[in-house]
Amino acid sequence: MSATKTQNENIVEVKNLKKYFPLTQGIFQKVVGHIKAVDDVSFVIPRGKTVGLVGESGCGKTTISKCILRAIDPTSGEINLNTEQGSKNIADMREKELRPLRKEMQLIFQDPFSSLNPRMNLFDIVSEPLLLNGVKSRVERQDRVEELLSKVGLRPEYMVRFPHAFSGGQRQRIGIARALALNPSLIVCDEPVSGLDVSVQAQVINLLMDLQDELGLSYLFVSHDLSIVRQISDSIQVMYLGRLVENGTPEEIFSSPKHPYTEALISAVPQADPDMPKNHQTLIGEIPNPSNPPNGCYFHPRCAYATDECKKTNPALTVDKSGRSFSCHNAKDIKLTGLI
Amino acid sequence: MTTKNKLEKKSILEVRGLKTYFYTTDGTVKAVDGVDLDVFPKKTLGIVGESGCGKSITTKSILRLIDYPGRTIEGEVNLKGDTLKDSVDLLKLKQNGTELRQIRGGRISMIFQEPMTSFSPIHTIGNQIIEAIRLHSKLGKSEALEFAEDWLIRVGMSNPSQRLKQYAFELSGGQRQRAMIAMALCTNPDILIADEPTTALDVTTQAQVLDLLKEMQEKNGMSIIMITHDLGVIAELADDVSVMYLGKVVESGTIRQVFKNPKHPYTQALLSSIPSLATGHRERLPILTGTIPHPQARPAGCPFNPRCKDFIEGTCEVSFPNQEIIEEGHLVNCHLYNK
Repeated sequence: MSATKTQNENIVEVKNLKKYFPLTQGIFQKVVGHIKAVDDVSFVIPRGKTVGLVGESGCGKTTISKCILRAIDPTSGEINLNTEQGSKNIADMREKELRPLRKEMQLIFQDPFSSLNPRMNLFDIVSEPLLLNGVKSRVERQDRVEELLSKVGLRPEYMVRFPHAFSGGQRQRIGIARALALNPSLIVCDEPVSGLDVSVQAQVINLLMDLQDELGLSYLFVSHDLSIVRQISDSIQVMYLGRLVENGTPEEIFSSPKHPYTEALISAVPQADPDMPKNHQTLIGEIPNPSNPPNGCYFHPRCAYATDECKKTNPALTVDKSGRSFSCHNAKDIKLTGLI
Repeated sequence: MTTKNKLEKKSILEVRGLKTYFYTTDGTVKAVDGVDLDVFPKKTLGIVGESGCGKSITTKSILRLIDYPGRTIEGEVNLKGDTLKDSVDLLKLKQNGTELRQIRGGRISMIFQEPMTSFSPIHTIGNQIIEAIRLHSKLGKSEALEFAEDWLIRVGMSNPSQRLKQYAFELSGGQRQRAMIAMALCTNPDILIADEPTTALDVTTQAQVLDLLKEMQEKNGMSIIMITHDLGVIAELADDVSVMYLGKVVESGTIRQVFKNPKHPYTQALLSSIPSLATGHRERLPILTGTIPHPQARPAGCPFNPRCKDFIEGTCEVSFPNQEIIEEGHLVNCHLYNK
């Protein structure tokens, strides 16, 4: 990512996005605190590129993707969506204005078994977005569904079948066809392959990359599988407890991580090579309760390099000379190891 | 045969020609079709394969946990003891008889993929661990409680005395899996069967659980049968590995033999379809075409032949290949190596 970019190079620009969920208590539902699911997050998704979002469960990955799709309303911040009609902040846009923009953004779900209605056949599933967006003619819809199915590698004859007749990988293809129906510019992939077998994972990943090359799609790829994120992403955002702690290209993140959390995540990934040294830097404990995060740096109770300063102040996301940003007090003093 | 080949190593569990079929109204499903496995003392055997290849049914057959309409129709499951007298063929024991119940949870324990659904939601964690302890020892209630607490400490659980009073839903995924491991190991089993123990967990929690299993193996000296589709997990934990496809073991050997020098086209395809350190950015990985065939429409001959890149016409679709020995301990069922 270059430092000089014009407005329209990015499909989405997220600025200071916050999403707090209120915690209530008592019969009057008095607000006693907040879960800061997403806390002051800024990043961009360049047009035609893939941004990987990684982190443990409960760190707010899915909340960010839901905010970008406006499936939930952000507490504050800006989400600028750049379309042919210019740049629009959709963070607090009214539903009526948002409606025509929704077709620009689509979602691929994690679980292909629960995200397809078992009572609808393939034609109904894939053509539903078309119907909702005013394509009334059945012939027209049928042609489009045929085109979409062949694009994702399914036979058009399957149109009359129901989801139960398909395997996990095929169902994920159906989900992809449905997401493509309205020619979106952005697709949010929320753990699209984590429920699939390894051999099928490769098929779906290859399909996603082929479709990106063919249609110029932009992806926000949410996953906890670092090896897949590394393969598909142009840039990676590492998230911990609602905050971005580091970003960079896959190359940078994996060869020289700057945040201890990234280092721990990388070393936790099992490699299918019996000769690889197995030196887990196992993280102690689990992700803290987001309603009561630790003082100072959120990561310090689990960090092997924590100093006194880490317990007091929260490090800001700083940008270094090469343009990478990370939030760690000790980034200069510690030497972290990635892969290779 | 396997036995001749591994004479110097004495196995603790020996599975020979295991066949478990499911008799459904649509026909017979050969879920496990002649499986041979050897588990060695203090070693980990990994079983890998795609979903539907019969990995889980194999281990359930070992413990005789197959329900109607399934039936284990053939084979031997020899659990060896210190003397010849202690050895038993589990398949010959009376279903749900005392002897078999002593072995289940006693000499062979099992941990499951989703600890949420395998713990009882209406009993506390403590209750369930104590039940296992008291079924397999003569300890009284309070002694068993202490013993359970001791085990929770050993598996690295924080606040063990409080955890014993909690229910499964009050624990996080990693803690539940720790409690499950404590419950499985508190009877000091010879063999631990782990059926996808980390699939539902985060990478960081997965690393913790794998480290815990390794540590427990070193301390207690048990053998582990590890079932997973994650080849990375196998490479990390296993000493030996068996690759299964459609109810049959197609390749087996030590982890280094199979992962460094895969011989069966299926193993080769599996290994090449996962991203590795050498995978370039946006590089397309070679994919295994097609999917696992329908259980009622299995191909004749070698079950892998419709998806195989080295398909030999007139041979592969005709007969199932014999077991060929590549080198000591490395066995493969493929016509390519037929001499």
